[in-house]
Amino acid sequence: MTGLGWTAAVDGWIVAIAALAGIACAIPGSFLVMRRESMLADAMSHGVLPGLAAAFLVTGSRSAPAMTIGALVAAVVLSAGWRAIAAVCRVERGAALGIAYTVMFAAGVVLLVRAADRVDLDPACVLFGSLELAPLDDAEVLGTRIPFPALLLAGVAAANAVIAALLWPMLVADSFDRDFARVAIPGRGIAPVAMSAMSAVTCVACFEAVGSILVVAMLVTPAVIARMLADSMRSVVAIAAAAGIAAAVLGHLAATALPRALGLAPAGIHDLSTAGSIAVILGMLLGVSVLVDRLRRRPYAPAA
Amino acid sequence: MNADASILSDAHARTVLATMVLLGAAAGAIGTPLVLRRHALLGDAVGHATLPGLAGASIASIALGGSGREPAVLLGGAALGAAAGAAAVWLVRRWARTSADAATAVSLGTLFGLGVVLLSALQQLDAGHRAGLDAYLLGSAAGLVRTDLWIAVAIAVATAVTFAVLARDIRAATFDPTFAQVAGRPVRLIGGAWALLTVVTVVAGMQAVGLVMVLALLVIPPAAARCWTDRFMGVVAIASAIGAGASAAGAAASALAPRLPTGAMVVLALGAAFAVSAVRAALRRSIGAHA
Amino acid sequence: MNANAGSDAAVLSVRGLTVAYDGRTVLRGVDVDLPARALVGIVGPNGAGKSTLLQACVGLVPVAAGSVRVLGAPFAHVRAAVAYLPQRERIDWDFPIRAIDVAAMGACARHRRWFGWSGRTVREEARAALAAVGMADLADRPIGQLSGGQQQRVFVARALAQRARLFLMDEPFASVDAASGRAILDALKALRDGGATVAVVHHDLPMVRDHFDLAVRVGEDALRIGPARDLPAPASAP
Repeated sequence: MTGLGWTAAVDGWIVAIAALAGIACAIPGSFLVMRRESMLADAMSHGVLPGLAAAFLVTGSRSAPAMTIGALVAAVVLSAGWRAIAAVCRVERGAALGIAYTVMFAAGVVLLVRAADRVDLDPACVLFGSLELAPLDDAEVLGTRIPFPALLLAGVAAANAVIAALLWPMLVADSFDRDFARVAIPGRGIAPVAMSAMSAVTCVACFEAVGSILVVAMLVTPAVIARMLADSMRSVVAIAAAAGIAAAVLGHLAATALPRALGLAPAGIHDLSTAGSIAVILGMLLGVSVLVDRLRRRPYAPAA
Repeated sequence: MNADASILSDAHARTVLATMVLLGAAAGAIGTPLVLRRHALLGDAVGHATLPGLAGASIASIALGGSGREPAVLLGGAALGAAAGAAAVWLVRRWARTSADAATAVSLGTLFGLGVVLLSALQQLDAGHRAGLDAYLLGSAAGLVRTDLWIAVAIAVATAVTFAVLARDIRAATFDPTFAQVAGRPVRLIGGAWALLTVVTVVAGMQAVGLVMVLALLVIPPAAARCWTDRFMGVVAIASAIGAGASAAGAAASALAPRLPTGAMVVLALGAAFAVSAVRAALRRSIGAHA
Repeated sequence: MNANAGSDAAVLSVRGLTVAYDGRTVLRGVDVDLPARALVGIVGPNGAGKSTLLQACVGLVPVAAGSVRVLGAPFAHVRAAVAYLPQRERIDWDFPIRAIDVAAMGACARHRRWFGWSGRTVREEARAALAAVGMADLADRPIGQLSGGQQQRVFVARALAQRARLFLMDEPFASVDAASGRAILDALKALRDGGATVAVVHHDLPMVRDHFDLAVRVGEDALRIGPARDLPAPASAP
């Protein structure tokens, strides 16, 4: 990789962090897609704004813990809010999500304007985030310096795995046939709550680590790819994680190598956004899997 | 962040108000079939898809020797991007055999990612450029000019004419597209027309309220109107009214408090209208259940 | 309450049931008793409230008035004794799940094992249930690749695996070919012979008349129950 100018310390961690995001997103993303709640990711990326703005207002600074807490609180409000709207007002879930997150976003913008007096911040920056800056923030674990976002995502990935392992039959049953679950499973109400919690925490962790752009792509596209290639939810989750990891590697590769390959250096373009590249690569992987699916489409089983 | 200038000439204020009211009314009507067809968030994907269009157009302009900030170029790019967004949702849904929400999210994520990539290139080409694009993120009603008013008039007229001519077909396509198609109604045509109307409304509305909040103009009025009536054209009419009213309220509030962005005020007004409608519907249902 | 000894005790007992939603009253003060060891057809015109009746029995729709008792107790107390099969339309047939996994859900319900990995017992019982409907060799097939009749058989297998006392099935014969229909009917009869009450929403009046024990005719204001063979011939209106 000498031609790329990669350094293990920086680029290695960028890829690792993005890959960990892919792993963390595999479980909640797969279930979100199956439950037809894919747009929750985008709703979250906008709906957390009031939480961030409130954190700015309350602490008068851009402290990361405060912002994380603010984002989590906003995520919980959004999760509960959109479900309440859908239930009470008989609106379909897409509309309920749209209502909830746009209103929260607007409230966030108003708060942000007030906060801008106290804190030097650029709203677009708050919204876009930046993966390239992630490795700068690190902590010491077992004698090595590990970037904090990597630790955060690894922790979230582990937590998601544990929750999913514990609740697996219930989650699958509830996602596949909700009426059956409501009737046959006592305590089935845990399933949507666990889903909301996993989604909210994963989204916020990913915002912190890789910025809000990538979260929608990383949650949904790998699961859509996996769904075409897999026969069971376990396979969907595994393939989704693999797709996320592959996109992380290819995305950063493209972001760093493409400008040079296209001869853009003289124009002043040296590298591109890694997060954006990963999202685009995921779209391309989807295209490839569509082709694969078409080529090997299995025939219907004959009526017995 | 751009906010309405505190010094607004009367004519300018009228232009802004008229533009926003017309766009609000049109968006409310256009959003109705989308919401009733359970595809409310199409506007989200279309809005986000404008970013690669904006950035790409800017880059193209610079490459061809321009400044990269010509409004016509940027809007043209935004329109292309929005159209690509609508097309992408349709394609993904067909080819990947997936649900509407997944197709919307995939299109949104991929195209917005592309937009961010192009933006990163643009920033290296022309440092500090993003300030111009920020206006499209959060909107700037103060920047609306006469041309925008004419565009809004055109959109409103086109919407009204479409509904006047095709009301029954639109209703059929919304509630039972399979049946309507078999019955020979122009379902595909209406679908295409709606994609076009959505694209145009998003691009026009984006300038005033920003690409994130333009979705609210499409989604909240029909949802609120649904609480008042079950009849299709009734929902359309009430949605238009709510959209127009909230836009007017938002524009007025923003003129009074210039630092608060217009888009945010409009959305908050829409939220209030929805809350009132929802409460009224819930009360009516609970009273009705005891009848 | 053990309904095995006095076979007169009703397995399902509906009293004064009123269900309304969207401003429309679907069922108004209806009563019915279903005994043990019976194959019951629930018939009536479209929109009469057949599905609503089942949904009210299992708590899926709010009840405006009246009561539903299963084995003498409210449904929520005897959940494990009831197996419910929803209508076909509500399923996402593209979901990545295999026949064996669907049947296993029934076994999980029976053992109330919803946490952690399902054990071997659950797998074996699922396989047995699939075998009872003739789907043993297609156990590992994703349901999206099965025909309509095969899919319905898998769902019936899920219900079988629950080993319930009361089976409430909403149109299990919908979109089903003749062979699958026979397999399902045989499985339902076997359940009935084992002592269960099997209540099935069905549109095929001749089949109900010829093969079922009882028929419940659903109208908005009343549920009329009688021997299935007394159902009027198709030419006359219900």
